[in-house]
Amino acid sequence: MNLLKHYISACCISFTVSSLFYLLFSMLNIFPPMNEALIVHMLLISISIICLIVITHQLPIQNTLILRFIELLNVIIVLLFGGAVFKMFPFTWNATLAVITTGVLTYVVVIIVIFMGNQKSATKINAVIARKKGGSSID
Amino acid sequence: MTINESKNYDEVEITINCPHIDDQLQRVIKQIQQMHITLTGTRDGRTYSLCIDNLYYIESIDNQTFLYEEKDVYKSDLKLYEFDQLLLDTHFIRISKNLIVNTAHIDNVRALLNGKFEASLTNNEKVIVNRHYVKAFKEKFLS
Repeated sequence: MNLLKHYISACCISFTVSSLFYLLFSMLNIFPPMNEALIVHMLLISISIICLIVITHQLPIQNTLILRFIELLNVIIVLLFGGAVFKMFPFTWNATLAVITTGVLTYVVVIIVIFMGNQKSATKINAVIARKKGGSSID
Repeated sequence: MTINESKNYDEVEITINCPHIDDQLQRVIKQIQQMHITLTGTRDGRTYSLCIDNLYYIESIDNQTFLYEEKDVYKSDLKLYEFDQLLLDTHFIRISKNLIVNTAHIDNVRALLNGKFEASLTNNEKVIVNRHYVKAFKEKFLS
């Protein structure tokens, strides 16, 4: 259940961040203007990416760098495939590069946000450990 | 606290009377339960009886299980999943596919960029909490 929450959170963060990047690129006239259908398509793409990442996490990959690379590959492949299926952007060099940049930046932001959450947890755990050391607890 | 010492008793019996079990009492109960678990390990051909409080972590390497104290390492015939069951509701928690750590010997933890945690033990060793076990690890301390 907790793991599910973790993936849902990651999906929400990636959807928000990728929407912001899309907005930025559409303002720069690289992508078409944003509309309701496009937002739904982006949500579907975000969900698809997370599903693929969940499947990737079931694989017995121990090396973190390889895992990160596959995750990033998942993001780019789904973005390009989803973009083609939903006709979200023109397949020009500029637009494709912007899509890949959006995917990479979104992925980095999600990783950083999750890391910040873990850092916060680590601080709380250290406070609990310090309290146990300093207190009269026998634990 | 009441302690009744008498030759009339055959064995030690602990009774706790309380209105409800709070966190502090829960820890006392865990500690008592943990004291009653004894393990055996072999080192240099000799078998030793080990107090689990002194264990830092239990590791499985190539289908063999090793028990780590501050300085000594013992071999055990039990599998890691058997330790998992044996040490349920104690300070021990599984942190990776091949390692169970005694949280009582964790000095501090830090988050890693790869989603894992690194736990520094009081004997200055470091162990890694794999992503799959991170949630349970956090809950062990924070719940």
